[in-house]
Amino acid sequence: MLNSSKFIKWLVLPMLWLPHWAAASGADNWEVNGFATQGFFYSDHNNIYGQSEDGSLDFRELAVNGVWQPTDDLFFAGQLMSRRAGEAQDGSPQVDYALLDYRFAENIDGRAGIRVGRIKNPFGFYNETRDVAFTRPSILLAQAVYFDNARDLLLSSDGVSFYGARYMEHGWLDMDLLFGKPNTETTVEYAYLSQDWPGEFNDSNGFMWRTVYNTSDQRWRLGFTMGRFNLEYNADEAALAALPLLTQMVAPQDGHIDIDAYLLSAQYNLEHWSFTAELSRQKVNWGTLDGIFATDPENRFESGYLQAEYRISPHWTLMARYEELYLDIEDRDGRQAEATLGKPAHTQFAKDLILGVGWQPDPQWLFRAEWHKVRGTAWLPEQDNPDQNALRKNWNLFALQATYRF
Amino acid sequence: MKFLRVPFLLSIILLSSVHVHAGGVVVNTGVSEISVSRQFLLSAFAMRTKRWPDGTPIQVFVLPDENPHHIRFVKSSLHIFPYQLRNIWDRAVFSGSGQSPHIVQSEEEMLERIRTVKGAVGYTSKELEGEQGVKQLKVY
Repeated sequence: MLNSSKFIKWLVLPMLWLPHWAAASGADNWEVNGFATQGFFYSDHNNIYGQSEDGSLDFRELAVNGVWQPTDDLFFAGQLMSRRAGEAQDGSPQVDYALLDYRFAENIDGRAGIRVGRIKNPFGFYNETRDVAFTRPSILLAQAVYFDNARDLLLSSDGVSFYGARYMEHGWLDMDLLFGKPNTETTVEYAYLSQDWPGEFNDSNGFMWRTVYNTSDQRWRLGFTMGRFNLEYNADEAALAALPLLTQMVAPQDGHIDIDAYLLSAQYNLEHWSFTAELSRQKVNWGTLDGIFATDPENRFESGYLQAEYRISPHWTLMARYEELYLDIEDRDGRQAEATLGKPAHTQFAKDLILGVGWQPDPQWLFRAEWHKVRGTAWLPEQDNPDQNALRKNWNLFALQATYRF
Repeated sequence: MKFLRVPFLLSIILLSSVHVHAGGVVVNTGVSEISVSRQFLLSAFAMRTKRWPDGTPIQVFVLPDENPHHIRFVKSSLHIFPYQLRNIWDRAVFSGSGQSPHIVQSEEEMLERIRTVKGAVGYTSKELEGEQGVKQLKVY
């Protein structure tokens, strides 16, 4: 399942030859980087990334990326990635991004360019590098905002993006506008349709726009993201007909889901401290699907977090975060979902307090440990927890992670 | 003698700041600029601006993150902290939106590379007197 359209193949194949060309030309205009991450998860109840109740090593991230800049205005970039995450992801290699970047304007006031290919979605502060341990503040990114269940949808799009920066007296403004076809693998069905149904999302499209203001001293970073995805769902009628009648009645039919996402991001940086907050709202409309996945044909998600990082030294970092997620702001305690859908109320929200420590003995290695005290199960992967009624509302998660980069 | 104390302290402060600014931003003599704004310098070291105002491609050279000269340069000349620069590079490299700078292991290697690479920029903690092929860039 090397998920690549023809379009992507044309971009990726030449890239495999990049180092040869570049080496032959003797130019120093290409580079290759990569990383390997191994995680360990232990939970007292509920599973994440494998059978974490027994202790799970079933979490691995491997990636190699390359950049080649044949001329000053043009560059190619691509990353191949393998991610093993419990039952949700099997580690088969995927083209994480593969793009051509042409910068058509650059002067002392700013720059502007265009990217074509598979492009990381510009969502908030962390999405584009969500799988890169060195760019994360913790082992798990704030699941309330960057929940792994919907990662495929958030991860990347095949399309075109425009970027621009404007340099001002006290800072600079960055803008990204992406149009494309989002990635809609099975995990998206779990996130928005509760399970993998007979049928699939086709012909999806969307846009995402992000603007971030940075002060020159990088003390403040303030961002706003908005996006819209229209996911076309095609039911597999033959397979549906084979299901029990009751299941057929709740199964999704042909139709579409519309998702509107908004995210506010703010960060304040000092020499030793960084404070980050992000607040997200999503409106999900699945009225045309006819199935039963939510208490209303239109739901509003709300989530956010507050995070503090303290750098004791270049080698040691402490982190604390508090986050909340509500799958339906009209039903924050989940009682309505429990009454009408028969799901445990705690599957509709999650509140998580995290304490973590990071150790970087040298620039290539990073080790982290963290503890989560969680109330609610809204962001737990259903693939690792097939029986929702067996989930416990209050649970703890302990995680360890080692990363090597090159 | 109390009245002497303030000028004495002031001259100490001035001298120590002169000491911090000995050396500074160094470029290949092919770079036509004499001075650049701090904003431009940060943008170049952040690998965001890729060309000098005259159009020559910029080649950035830095010492490793933990090198004391690197830490001092980033704080005093770019007015940010080294971890912020590292975050900017990592975000660009791992999202396919940019490259990282060339890393050299010593100040001598830095000067040698700047001398030989067109459009090169780096920094030094030493005086440049007698050095050929490199020049100091003023920052305003």
